[in-house]
Amino acid sequence: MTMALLEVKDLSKRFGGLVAVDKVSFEVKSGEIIGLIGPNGAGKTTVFNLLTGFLSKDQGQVIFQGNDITKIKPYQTVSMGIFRTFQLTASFPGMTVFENVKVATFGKTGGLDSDRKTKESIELVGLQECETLFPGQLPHGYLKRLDLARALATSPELLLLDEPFSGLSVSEIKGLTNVIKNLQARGITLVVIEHVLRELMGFANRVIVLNFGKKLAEGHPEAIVRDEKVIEAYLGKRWDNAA
Amino acid sequence: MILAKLRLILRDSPIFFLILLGVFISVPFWAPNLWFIRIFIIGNLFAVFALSWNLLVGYTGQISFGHAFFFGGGAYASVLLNKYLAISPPLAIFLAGLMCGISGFLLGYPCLRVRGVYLALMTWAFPLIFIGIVMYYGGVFGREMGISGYQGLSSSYTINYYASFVLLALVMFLTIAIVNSRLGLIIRSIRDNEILAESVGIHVSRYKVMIFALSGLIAGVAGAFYAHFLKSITPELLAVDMSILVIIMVIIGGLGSTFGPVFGAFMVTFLNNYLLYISELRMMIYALVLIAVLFLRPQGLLPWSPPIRFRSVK
Repeated sequence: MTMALLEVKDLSKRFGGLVAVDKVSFEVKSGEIIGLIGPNGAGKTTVFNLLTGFLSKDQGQVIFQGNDITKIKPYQTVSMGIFRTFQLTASFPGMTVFENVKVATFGKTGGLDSDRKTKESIELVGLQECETLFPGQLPHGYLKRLDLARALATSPELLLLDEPFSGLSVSEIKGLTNVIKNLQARGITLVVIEHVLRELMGFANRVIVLNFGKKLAEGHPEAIVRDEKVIEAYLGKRWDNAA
Repeated sequence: MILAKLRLILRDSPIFFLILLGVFISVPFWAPNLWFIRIFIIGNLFAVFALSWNLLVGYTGQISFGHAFFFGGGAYASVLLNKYLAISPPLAIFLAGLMCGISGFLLGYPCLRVRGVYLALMTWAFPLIFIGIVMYYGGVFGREMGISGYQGLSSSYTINYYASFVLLALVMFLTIAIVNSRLGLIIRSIRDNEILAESVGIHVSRYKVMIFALSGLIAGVAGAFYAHFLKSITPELLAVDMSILVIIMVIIGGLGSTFGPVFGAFMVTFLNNYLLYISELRMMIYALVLIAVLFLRPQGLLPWSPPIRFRSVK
């Protein structure tokens, strides 16, 4: 049994009276793809923000590769080997695609060999024809790929993807799924937030379900879709059981 | 067509820049009178001032509405060092620059807490503090009468010109070197999207403070030089007008470009001179020019500026 790459214990966050994340614990093993799902407002993105230090934790501990990273600051995540993407595509609008990716190579290697690393990352997501364009000139699907290229450029060991499929067409989702599988083959561990189970079924090894900030279920995707509690969270109670 | 071609010639041709360089180097030889050299000296110094503001705002995206703090502060520091401690003007200018750099570093910290409009308001307040000190401690700072009776850098306009030109060349070289380096990419990424910059591993606050210090240092040197050239200073160097003037120079020339601010600074300096007799209307005319530029050509008047839509407008 492999050691856990990431260990999350009793992670909690409240926003005033609202408990956004309530004692969530889970483990991520090296090389896995974890799906993090749940209805709107379940606390998925908040978990990412807590893990990467964009929000401070009220309670809990995070251990990555044996190091306690509970008090990590956002800019330190890259040098640790963690990178997160954002729900909405994010980019540097005044910089070319090449520059957008290049700036992400500085964190870990200190800028050594950054041109080669940049080219490699751009090629992996298939954006080599757009290197000199600006993000404003790219369609949405390409911006999602730019997000991934930037992620790759940081040489992550753990990649946190926040809704990589949002706003993509069926064929674009297929293409991106292949890229994600490719990443796993390269030894990158992934945690992927998605609303829709169907997209995750193809590649997730394990799925964690959040609801109202609490961990509702965890397990193989096949088992998760049959789980009564999960179905209830998404669709409501079954009529025949409700009575 | 012709315009597009001209634009390319202007942008790519080394000949154009060599001619421009030649014109600048030979100013003392072809200038019809001393007044003309004087305009060019002030132009050089304003250009340095504009480049310092542009480094902070155009490249790093940290809005400053109070850059007169550094320009005027450098002027006062250098003059006082010379007058009371008898430090020679070149060393005094250098030390004044250093002091402004340190002030920039210290002021950078409270600035980390605020963004956008609030940052603009906070920086706007900095020179007001300095004016308060100047007015209260009149014995040293001379109140609204200012300070005079200190040494100039040199009585020769030619020497002053070349010294200011070398300063401008150095600062331009520094700007170009920064923009084309790793640091340039990093500060532009902070300008474009701070949160994303943070998440790709950039220690945003460290770089912001660093640029605040560097920008303060450059503006301080320009102000100190300016003071030793004019041989008398008044609190007007710290006034809101001064902070606005540098903004106008950079916007007219092109925010976030290297040659734009220099071009804008010379335009304003020349206008300043030719509008001398209607000085009451000067600021109004600049304001109208500013509005016109923002409306019709927000990327600045330089012919090779790229359209603004590919730059940060956040």
